[in-house]
Amino acid sequence: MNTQAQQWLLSGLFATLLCASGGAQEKPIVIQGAQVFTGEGGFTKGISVRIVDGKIQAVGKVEPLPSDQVIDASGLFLTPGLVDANTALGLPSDQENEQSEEVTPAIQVKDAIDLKSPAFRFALENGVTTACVSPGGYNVIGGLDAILKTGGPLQERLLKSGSGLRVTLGTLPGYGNRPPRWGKPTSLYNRRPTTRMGTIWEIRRAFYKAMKYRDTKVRREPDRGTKVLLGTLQGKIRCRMTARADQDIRTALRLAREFGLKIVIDGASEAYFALDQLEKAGFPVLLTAPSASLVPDGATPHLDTATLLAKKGIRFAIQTGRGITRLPLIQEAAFTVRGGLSREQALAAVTSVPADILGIADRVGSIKKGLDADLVLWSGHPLSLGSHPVRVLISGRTVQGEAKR
Amino acid sequence: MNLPIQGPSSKNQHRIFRSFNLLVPMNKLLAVSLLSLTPFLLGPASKAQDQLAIRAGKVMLEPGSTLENVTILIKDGKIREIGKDIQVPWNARVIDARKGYVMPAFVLAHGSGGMDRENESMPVTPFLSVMDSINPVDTFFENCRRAGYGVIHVVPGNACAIGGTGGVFQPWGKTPEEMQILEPSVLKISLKPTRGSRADHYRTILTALEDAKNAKSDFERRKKEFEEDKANGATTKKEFEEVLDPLKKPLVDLLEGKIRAMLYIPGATDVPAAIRLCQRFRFPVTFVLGGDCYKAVKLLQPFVKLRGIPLVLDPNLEIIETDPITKDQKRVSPARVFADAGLRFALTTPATSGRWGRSSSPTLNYPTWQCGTAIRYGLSPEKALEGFTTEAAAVLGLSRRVGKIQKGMEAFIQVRSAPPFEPESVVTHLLAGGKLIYQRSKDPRVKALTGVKGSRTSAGGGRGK
Repeated sequence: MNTQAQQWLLSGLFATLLCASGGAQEKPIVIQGAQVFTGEGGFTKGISVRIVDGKIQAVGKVEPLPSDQVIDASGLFLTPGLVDANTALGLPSDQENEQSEEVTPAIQVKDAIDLKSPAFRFALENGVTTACVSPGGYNVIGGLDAILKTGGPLQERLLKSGSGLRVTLGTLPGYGNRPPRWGKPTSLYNRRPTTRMGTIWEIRRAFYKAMKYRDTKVRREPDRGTKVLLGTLQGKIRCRMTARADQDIRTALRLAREFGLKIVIDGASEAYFALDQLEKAGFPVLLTAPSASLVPDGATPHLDTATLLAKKGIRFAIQTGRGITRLPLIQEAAFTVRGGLSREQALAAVTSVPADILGIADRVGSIKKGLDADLVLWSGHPLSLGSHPVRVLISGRTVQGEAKR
Repeated sequence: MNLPIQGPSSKNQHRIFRSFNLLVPMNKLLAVSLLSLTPFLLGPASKAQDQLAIRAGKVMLEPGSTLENVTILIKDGKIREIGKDIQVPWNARVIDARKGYVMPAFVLAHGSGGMDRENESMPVTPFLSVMDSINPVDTFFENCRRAGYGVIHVVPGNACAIGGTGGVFQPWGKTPEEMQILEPSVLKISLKPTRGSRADHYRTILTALEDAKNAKSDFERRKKEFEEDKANGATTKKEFEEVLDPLKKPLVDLLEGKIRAMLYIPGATDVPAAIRLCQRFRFPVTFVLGGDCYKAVKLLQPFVKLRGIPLVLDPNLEIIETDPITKDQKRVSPARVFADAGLRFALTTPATSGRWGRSSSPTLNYPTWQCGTAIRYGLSPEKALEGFTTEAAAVLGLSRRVGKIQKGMEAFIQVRSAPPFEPESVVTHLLAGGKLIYQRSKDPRVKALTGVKGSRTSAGGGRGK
């Protein structure tokens, strides 16, 4: 079967699943009494939220109708469901990286995610309702990511697929590769890249190839990988460049200039070295788990990187990353507060900002009229160390029971 | 005032200090002259603070008991006065904590940080002491100061069957003796099988204890025989010159109840063996409960209550349990299970050293974040804090000295920037034995890891740098 036919079949399948799931009418819900964080600013008292058909219908002074189901949330804190901009949820560790080639722009993480993985439930229990799952960081160009809800009916979970391409800079893509010595290659891993330079060259070569196709006059159907790279060059696909150490951040900015790419800097552990350049370039940052002290590429994370980014006005989201820490997303946000960031900015960096960066701000990330009713009720201020979600709603349905623990 | 804020300044200087010892006799003169300089090389000397006063906005005297706007007066290492209208002597150093939160310094009830190595390569080594392995410049102690620990129990690791004696230390000082609060504290016994089967490991412990028992009774018999011989004139010696085998002495002390055992139980499987061991030898014991011991709570609870055994929980407060057949996972907190069973326990953090710690997340080293995990699983904030203050002090038998802010107790106090469970909360000052041993504003590590950096200042880093 050719790739195009596969694509049609897949999109058809998802469309059928989506149609099958809609339609169930549920009682409107009104959540009142809680202190509410809408996605920006601080917590406000006296705001109620009305949910109709899984969407937020009204925010503000809402009088519940007699037919509405009222959730009394006095003493609790209401926030939008958290958005984790980079995770490996549902991907077993040996399934993250496709090792057959270094440049695999066409592969889709959607094909590998196990939606029944307990990791999704743990994320949900920690208040994360939307997660971006991307291929691992051992390929130079790793593939297309998928944005999913962490709970609710399986067929409704996929928000977007193929909207972002993962590109990794630094030393990880070359890890394990070695140049052939004394004659013939003897292993699959006698290959390039083995250095930072080689990694960057692989990126350049891939984009040059796509540009060559673009500029050629003889038209034939491009292969799927070239299509993805062309989409990235045109700005239709978000290009997420993983760059942790300072020289990698600078290289990412240089590549963006060279190819006219609109990138998102992922990792940015040493952003404190390149604040001016980041500010000038204006690209958003997905800051790697701020509490992690050991990150790859020999980068040295600082306590107050988030604070410095905020002071410079650089838009950033906080992510948990993949396996470098075991803290839930909300605690990563709390850790940036320990480093001097304001509570409002820390909360925005795990809700509205990542939703905006991922291009899903019209669906999730804020408590606004018309958005999905993905909400979390917390036992205390979400950033206080002992607080935990007591109730999590996805599209207006309670998916994590009240006071489950 | 020149205050002793940081410990000896660097590991390398300490190594220089050691290597000069090797230069004798050829370069003896040079070595001696340089040795005399080492206190200056190693950082500011530790001067006892005569009088210290803390003006506190909020004080937690012990979990569940708070006061507002009081002054705490400290003299000669002890808390002399706590109250609103206290005359602060003119020559007392004053710590202004009117915007902060004052509480007892944390107590770590069990850990193996700050040592050269945790475990000896032999299974039975009761004759070892952590005193010989403590490295005062280990970054573990620095991390402890930053986390608010004033009292740290250092015990041999969990890999030896009988690991040696532990000690209680404060996290500041140039020598182990200077840091020492209580030594020896306990004799470490671990039920974790590291060389073969569980049964074989248990037998190793039994054999060692029986050997010690026999050695003691043999010794007593020979002593008695000597006394008889002396009375009969069969010997010319005036005194019984034999001494008890020093390699077995700590075990004999244990069997005689002179020292307490700290028994590490790695999992529920080992709980019956632990109980059998205690019933057979009846030595005073503290249990350190690891892994899935919470599954044996019904077996543990009556025995622990009956014998009044103090409990310490492993640092892992969140355990993911996988069903062997369905592979479904669920999360359990041992702290919650033991609290529900009405048991009291001390909590711990893992031993971390290095830049922020050997573990990838520095937050694991923060007692407040550990408490946060326990609270999320339903423990009350007071109960969680007790695990690092009053309960931990009780485990060490130091309830009358540390773990509370109370008149007459020793001044082990931390000042935080905010109440402990607020995300902004960091330790701004730490007092141990009435001495100011940490000030965040002068913490070189915090200075190095914050702020805008123009260029790389060190060649550190891992692969690729």
